[in-house]
Amino acid sequence: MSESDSDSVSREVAQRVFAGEFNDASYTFKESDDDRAPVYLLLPTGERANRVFIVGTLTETEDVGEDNEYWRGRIVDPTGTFFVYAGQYQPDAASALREREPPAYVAVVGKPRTYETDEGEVNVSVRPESITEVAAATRDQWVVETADRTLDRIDAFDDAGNEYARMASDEYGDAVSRYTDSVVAGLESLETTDELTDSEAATSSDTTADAADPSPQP
Amino acid sequence: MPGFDPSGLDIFDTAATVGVIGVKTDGSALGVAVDRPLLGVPATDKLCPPGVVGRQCRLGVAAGFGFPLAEGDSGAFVSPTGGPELRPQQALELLVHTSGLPSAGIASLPVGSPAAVHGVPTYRPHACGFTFSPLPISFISSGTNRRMSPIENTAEATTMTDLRTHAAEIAEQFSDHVEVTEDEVETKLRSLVEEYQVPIDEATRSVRNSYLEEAGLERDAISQGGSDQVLVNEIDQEEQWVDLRVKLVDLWDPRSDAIAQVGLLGDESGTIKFVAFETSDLESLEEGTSYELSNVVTDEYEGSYSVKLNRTTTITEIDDEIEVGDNSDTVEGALVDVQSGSGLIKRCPEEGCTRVLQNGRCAEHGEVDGEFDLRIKAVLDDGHEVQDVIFNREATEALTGIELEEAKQLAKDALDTTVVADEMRADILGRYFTVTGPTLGRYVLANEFEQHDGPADAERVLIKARSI
Repeated sequence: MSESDSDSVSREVAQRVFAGEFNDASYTFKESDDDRAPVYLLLPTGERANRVFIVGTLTETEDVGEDNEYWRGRIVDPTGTFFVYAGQYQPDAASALREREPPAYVAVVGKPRTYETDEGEVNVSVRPESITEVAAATRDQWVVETADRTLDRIDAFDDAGNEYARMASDEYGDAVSRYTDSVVAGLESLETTDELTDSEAATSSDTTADAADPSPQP
Repeated sequence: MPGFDPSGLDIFDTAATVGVIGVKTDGSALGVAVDRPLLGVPATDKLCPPGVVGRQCRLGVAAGFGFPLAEGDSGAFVSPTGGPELRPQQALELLVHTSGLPSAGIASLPVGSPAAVHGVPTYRPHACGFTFSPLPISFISSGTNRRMSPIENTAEATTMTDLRTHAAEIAEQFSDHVEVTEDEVETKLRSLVEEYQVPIDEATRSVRNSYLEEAGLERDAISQGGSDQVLVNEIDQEEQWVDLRVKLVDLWDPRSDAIAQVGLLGDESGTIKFVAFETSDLESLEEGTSYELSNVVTDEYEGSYSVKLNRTTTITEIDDEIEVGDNSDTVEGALVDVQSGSGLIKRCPEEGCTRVLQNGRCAEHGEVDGEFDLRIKAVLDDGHEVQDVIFNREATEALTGIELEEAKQLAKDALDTTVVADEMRADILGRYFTVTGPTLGRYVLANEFEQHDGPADAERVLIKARSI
C-alpha cells in the first residue's frame, strides 16, 4: 500500500490513540517482505497502526526546514503532545501549518513515523495526509471516542489469540492500566475544560518537548 | 381403423394424403402429412410441403387447411431437407390447429416398426409414419407453462419445452442426493407422458417420487418445485433457488452475446442485479413491469449478490405496482479522506452515459463536451472499519454550502477546477458524520447525512473506564 493509496478495499483504518500512548510506542514492523507493504507502529495497548486520526489543539507551528520548508506542528490532547511534520511532499498539510494561526482545534489524518536519535532513542511523530480546522465539539467527540477505543484495546489485552497484545507485551511490557488512568483523566478534563484552556496541557508537556521532539529530516 | 403402413407412403404423390398440422421435435419443425381423404381442399394444397409447414411451425402458426384429427388417424412425419432424422420411439409432439380449436395429442411412432420405417426407400430416414392419439385438452391447460397456447404460439407451447423444464427442475432438486442427469430425467418423463399418456403433473410427481425412494429421502427433504419467495435484500447466500416478486427497475447493455438481458430488479426491500442468458430462451422482461419470477438462482461476486434466470424460471407478469426500496444502510465515523474525482466534475453528455470525464475524455465516448456536476467521494472511518460514501450534487451542496454555480465561479476565478474540492475538503475533513442511503457496490449513497456537533457523551465511557 502506497502512501497516497486511496483504494478503500484495502485502506487501513485510522486508529484512535491518545498522545500519551502514541509517544510511548517505538516498535514498527511489516507483515510481508514486499517493499510496498504497510509499516505498522505497534501501540502499547496491543494494536497495529498504519494510520491515525487525531484531534487536538494546534499550539505552535514552526518551519524547521533548512533548504526547503519543513513545518512542525504541536498538537495537544488531554494526555500529551503529538508532533506532526509536513514538507514538500505533503503540500496541503504544510500549507495548513503555514497558514493556521495557533491556537486552533485541528483534525489530522496521518501516518505514524519513527525516528532514531543519535542517542539511540526512538521518537515517534505523525506525517499528516490532511490537517483541517474543526470545532470544539469535534475535539470533544474525538476525546470520548479515543477513550472508548483505548478501553476496548485494554479490555482485549489479555484475550487469547490477541497477537498484537502479545507483541506489545514483549516490546513494552504489560502494564497497560496506566492508559486506563490517562483515559479517565482525559474524560474528566472534558467536563471541566472550556474551549482552548488546553494551553495548560501544552505547557506541562513543554518541559519534555525538546527531548520528545523527534525532528526527523525531510 | 387399420394402422398406418409407412412403407406404402409416398407423400409427394397421393391425393389421399393431406396435411394439417405443426409438429416439433427437439426444437426442429417437421412437416406432417395425414393419411385421410381431403375434403374441399384444392388439389394443389393437398400436401403440407415439409419446408412450408416447418417454417410455419416455427412462427407458431400451423398450416391452415386442416381438420381435426381423430383417434387412430395416421400419417407421416416428414423432416425437411437437413432436418432431424426420425427414429422409431422418438418422442414427437403433435399440435393441431383446427378452425380455432386446438386439438393436441401425442403421435406415437409405431412400436416395433423400425424395419417398416426404414423400409421407406426414398425418404428414409426423414419420413416415418405415426398414429394419432388425442389427449384431453386439460393436458395443455394444466401444464405449468403459463405461456402455453397451442393456437397462438405453438413454437413455445410444446410439451417438449415443458418436459425439459420439469426435467431440469427435478435434476437440480436431486443433484445433491443422487447421481442424476437432466437427460435421464427427461427420458423418464417423456416415456410417461408420451408412451403412457400420463399428464405432465402426474408424470413429474411420479418421477420425483422414484428419485425420493432411490435417495431414501422424505418428501420434505427436497425443496418442492424449487423455492421460497424471498425479498431481494434477504439474499445472503449463493446457489439458492428462490422466487421473487419484483419490478424491473433498469435494463443495462449486455456485455456478452451469451447474455440476453441484464439489469436491476427491485422490491420493497431494495434492488438486485439479474442476468438472463440466451440459452435459457426466456421471454424478455420489460422495464417498469412487475413480475413473479419463480426458480431463479442466487449468485455472489465480491460480496454483492445477484440472481440468474435459467431455463426452469417461470415468468408471470403481474399488475400490482411494486414499490422499490433502496437497500438503505447507515454508517458513521470521522470523514478521513476526500478522494480524487470529488468536487467540480464533468460528466459525459451522451444519452444514458453519465461517466465522469478524465481530462475531457469519456472512457466510452472519447472526447466530449462535458456537463458540470458536483459530487464528493469520501471515506468514513470509525476506528474499526472504513466505508466509502458518495454525496451526489444535492447532498454535496447541502453538506458544503457550495452550489454548482458558485463552484463553477470558483473554478473560473482560479482557472482550476481542483480549488472546489480543496474548498470542500477544508469544510468536511476531520468531522464526524452519520450517513444513510442505499448501498451501491462498495459505496453508500448519502441520501441523508448528519454532522455530529452536539456535546459528547463522556459519562458513558467514564463508567466503562471505571469498570475495567
